[in-house]
Order: sequence, then structure tokens, then C-alpha cells
Amino acid sequence: MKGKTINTAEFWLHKSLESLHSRMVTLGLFVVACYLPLWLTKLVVGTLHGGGAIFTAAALILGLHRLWQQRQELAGLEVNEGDRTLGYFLIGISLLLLPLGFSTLWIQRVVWLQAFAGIALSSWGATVFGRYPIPTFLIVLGLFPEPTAVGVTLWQTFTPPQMLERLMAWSGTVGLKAIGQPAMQINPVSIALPGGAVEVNWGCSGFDMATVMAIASLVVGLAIREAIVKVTLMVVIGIALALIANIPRIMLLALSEAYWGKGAFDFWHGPWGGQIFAGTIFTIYYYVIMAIRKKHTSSRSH
Amino acid sequence: MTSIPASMPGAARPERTKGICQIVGLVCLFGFALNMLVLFLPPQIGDAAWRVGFLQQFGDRSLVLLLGAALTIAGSQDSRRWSRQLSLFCLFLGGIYLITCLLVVKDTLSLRQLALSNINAQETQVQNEIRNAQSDPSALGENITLEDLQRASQTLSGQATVAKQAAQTTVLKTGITSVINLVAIGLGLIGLGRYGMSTRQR
Repeated sequence: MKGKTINTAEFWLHKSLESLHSRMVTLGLFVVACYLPLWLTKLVVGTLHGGGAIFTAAALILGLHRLWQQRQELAGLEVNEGDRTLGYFLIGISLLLLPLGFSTLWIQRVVWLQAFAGIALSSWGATVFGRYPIPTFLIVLGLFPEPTAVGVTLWQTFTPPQMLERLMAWSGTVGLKAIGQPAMQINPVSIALPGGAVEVNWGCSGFDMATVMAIASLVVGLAIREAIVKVTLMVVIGIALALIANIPRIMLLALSEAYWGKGAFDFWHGPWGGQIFAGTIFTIYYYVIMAIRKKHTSSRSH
Repeated sequence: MTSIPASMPGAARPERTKGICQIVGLVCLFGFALNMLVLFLPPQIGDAAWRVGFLQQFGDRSLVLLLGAALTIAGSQDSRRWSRQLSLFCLFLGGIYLITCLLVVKDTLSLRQLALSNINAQETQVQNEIRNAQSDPSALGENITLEDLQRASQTLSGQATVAKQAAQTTVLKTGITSVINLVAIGLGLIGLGRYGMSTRQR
């Protein structure tokens, strides 16, 4: 058994040093392997803290799995000289940048993507990105550094200040008035009831939940092999649902602050309230998506 | 008799077109190189703000480089050696453009951090002065009350938030436009290089 393992290892070692191309690919894989422990650590820690890390990891694995399924087709692709040279160039540069990635997360991810791109370019040519857009997209999404933080920064850069908070405070006030409460907006981001006032901060604007819903629906939609139009619909529904469901949450928070005291507010605002809220959203989302799928299949069979 | 004057310009036209391509292409490349040299000197490589400014200009003007490279490749398709060299050069240049993006992103993030911490430091300083004044009410002037100070402190933090947002937006917008420019030109050069190499093989 041990001898067999050594034989296999020798075989792969020999094979990996056989030609210039296999040597370059091995170099690229070496870069990937260097970062793998860091990625795994971050995945485990992130999942334990309840982040969306598991979704991006799922996207990466799904993308690689899709490519693996196509391996026979991939082996038949021809590479031209330009692509091969460019691929080697990218692998070489990623090796040079390797030390920088240990300290900074986003450099690590970009170098990782660069090594992947170099391997793909030099082995299968640039046509591979056009022919397999979904696996490519999934791998890029899976390795994207801090998607929520980047989303927040971009949103704040390109939208007027406090747009989402103002919208949420306004809709919360309208909602409270609709159920007969004497709610007032004392400033653009605060709701006042006779017993107290709440201010809508960035954390309560529903943006984080919308991002998580968008990524989750994207990954799930692509995993169950829905058509692109339907995946887009699922993403849009996910975002809309997260934002709409945030309005009752704001109303509930305002009511608990005004009438039920600080304890109730902290409960609904803290981790328990957040989990109940997320659970409710995912349940509603599940039934909406199932309804859409069922309707679509039945109308197709007619 | 009649066929000769008709065929002569037809035979000469591709040659003339190639000549024009080469001239315009070389002018573009040469002009770009000189412009960049002027912008580059005197180099302050260690200064992040200088790097961001230089790379922004570099990205803005690189369209000239792309056009020059395209025209030169189009003009030198007859000479196999030249077109291959040029295509390889374009390919590497495109790769370098893409990698330069990393530098732009890194510098943009560090400049943003710098701007935010500057504003924070200023805010902290003024808030400390207000707090000192609050702790020593006897030193206050006749017509300044503690409530005035409280209100001033709130206004200050509001203004600091707005300033932070504005600084962040400016820095990030500059960075994002630079990155878009560099990625577009880099991909263009790579496409040009690939195309040049594939026509050579044909």
C-alpha cells in the first residue's frame, strides 16, 4: 500500500515536470496550494460567526465541479501561442505577488484568481471563458473578497447619502400610520411615537440581508440549473423581499422601543431577533420560489 | 489599354493604406511615449497620491497607445517578424495593464484610509476642545451656554460625517474610473495581440 502511494506520487511528480506546460501548471497550482490553508481557516471561522462565507465557498466548489464535469470536452480545446504565453506570464506574476497575499485578503484572492486564469489560459485558451461563462462567473464570485463590504462601499459611493435609511424610515412611518399609530418622522432617518423614537442606522436598512439573499439565490438558482432569466428573477425577488420585509421589522422595533421598554427593543434588535427575522424571510422566500417553479412547469406542460 | 489605368490604382491601394496606417500608428506610439515621459518625470514612486494621479493620466491617455498599436500591427502585417514581435509586445503590455490595476486598488484604499483618519483626527481635536470648555464652565463667555456647546458638538459630528462621505466618494470614483480604463485598455491590447498572432499563423 505504501509502495503504491510512493509510486503514484513519483508518477505525478514525473508527469508534473515532464514538459514546460506541465511545469508552469504545477507552478500555478503551487500558488493555489499556498493560499488554501488560509482560505479554509477563514471559511471555518466565518461560518462559525454566521457570515455568508458558506455561500461563496459553495459557489467556488460548484464552479469547479461544473468544469470538472466538462473535462473531456476541455481536453479537446486547442490553445494558440498567444494565449499560452499570456497564461505563463500571469502565472509568473502571481508567483511574484505570492508573498503580498499573506497579509492582505483582497490581494490574496486576486492572485488566486490570476493563477487560475493563467492555468486556464495556458491549458485551454481564452475560448474557455466564453464557452463556460457560468463556471467562470461562479469561481470569480466564490473567490470575490468581502462581497458585502465591497457592495456597501460601492452603494455609498454611488447613491445619495442615507438614501436607504431615509426610504426605510419613511416607509416605516407610513406603515405605522396605516395600522393606526400616531407615528411621526422627526427627521429624515428617525421615527417618533409618543413613547419614544428610533433612528434607522445603516445596519437596519436591510442592505446586508438583501446582499445575502442575492448571492444565495444566485448560487441556488445556478445549482438547480434554472434558466438565466429565472435565476435573475429569483435574485430580484430575493432583494425585494429582503427590503420589503425590513419595513415590518422597523415598525416592530419602533413599537417595542415606544411601548414595551428597552428589553423588548434589545431582544428584537439583537441576535435572536435577527435570526427570527432571517428565518421568516427564508421561509417566505422558499414558498414564493416554489410557487414560481410550480407555475412555470405546469404552464410549460399545458 | 483601358484595363491598365483601372488596375494600377487598385493594386497600389493596399500598399498605400498600409503606409498610412504605419505613419499614423507610429505617430501615436511616439507621442504617447513622450507624453508619458513628461508626466512621469520627476518620479515620486514612494508617494501614493502621485502614483494614483499618474496612473489616472496614464489610463486616460492609453487609448492613443491602443490605436497606435492597432494601426502599426495593421500596417506591418506583411513583415512576419515585425508583426509577431509587435503582437507579443501588445500581449505583455496588456498583461501589465491588468496587473497595474492591483496597484491602483491598493493605493485608492490607502488614500481613502488616510483621508478618513485625517478628518477623524481633526474632529477629535475640536471635540476635545469643546469638552475642555464644558468641564470648565467658569471660563466661558457671558453669552455662551453649555447647551450651545452641546449643539456645536452635534453639528460638528454631523459635518464630519458628511466630509468623510464626500472624501470617500471622490477617492473611490477616481480609483474606479482608473481601474475601468486600465482594464479596458489591457483587454484591448491582449485582444490585439491574440488577433495579431492568430493572423500570423493563418
